[in-house]
Amino acid sequence: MIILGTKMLKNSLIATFFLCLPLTVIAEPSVLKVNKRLKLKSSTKYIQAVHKEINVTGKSPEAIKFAILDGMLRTKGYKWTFEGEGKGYILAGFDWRGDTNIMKIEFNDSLIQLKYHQAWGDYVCKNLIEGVCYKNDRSYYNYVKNLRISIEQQISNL
Amino acid sequence: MTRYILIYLLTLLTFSANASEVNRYEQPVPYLNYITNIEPVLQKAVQYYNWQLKTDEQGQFLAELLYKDNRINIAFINEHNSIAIKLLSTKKENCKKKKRCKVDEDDLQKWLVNLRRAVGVEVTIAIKKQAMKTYLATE
Repeated sequence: MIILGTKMLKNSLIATFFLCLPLTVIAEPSVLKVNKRLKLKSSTKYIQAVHKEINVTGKSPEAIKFAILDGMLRTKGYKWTFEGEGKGYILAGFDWRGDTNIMKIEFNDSLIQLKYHQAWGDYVCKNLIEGVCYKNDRSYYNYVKNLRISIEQQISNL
Repeated sequence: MTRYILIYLLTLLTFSANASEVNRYEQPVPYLNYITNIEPVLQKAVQYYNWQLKTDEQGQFLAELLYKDNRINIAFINEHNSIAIKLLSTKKENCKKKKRCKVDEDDLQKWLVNLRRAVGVEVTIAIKKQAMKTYLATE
């Protein structure tokens, strides 16, 4: 009985370790390299329109944060809302006709990158690799593309 | 190893199943330490979709929507530096046929998600203003 209990405890601890793995990975934007060999994949053009990094070299962290928030509110057609933040990222949410998409906007002193965080309904990613959504509904790429364009525009206006 | 992966996947499934049980409108809108007085934010947010902001005896913020005989009452739960919507009551007024005396569930979800979104937009505007001040102070 004791052996069984110990085994179960060991299994739970290992499972918890695996469960916590995605949370402990430090968020960092990086230069996007699309893996074109994947079978389950939307067009490379769409993926780049959403996940391609934005260069912010020379801008202060305060300026970058302001540009991201301003970009969220100035997105063409629809405002994105603040859903939380952490060191080096802001969460931005989008609700449309019962579907929800939350993007993690990661930033450091040289880059901003939009990464898929969470979704419900039509925007759930079908192939997610390190925050880059390789397969999703076309409307996901269209809506999030506008957010990326808007943030890029606000960065250039600084 | 396979066993561990199986346990991991099962735990993930349990977590995702629990997450989906919460309605979108019930998910709190975080404002962290950026907002000290939530009232002006709520005042503006309720106006987006013609809700009326009220307070109860304890000073808790409530809101009411009256739209095409549908009367919806909610409470704003202001805790842990975030604001959440709690549905209090729904009523269809002036209905004569019993079949039509219930508020349409899809409409209700839409109105509540819209209200949450309006609060989210106003919170984002307030946070952006703070971010702009900080940015300008460092320039």
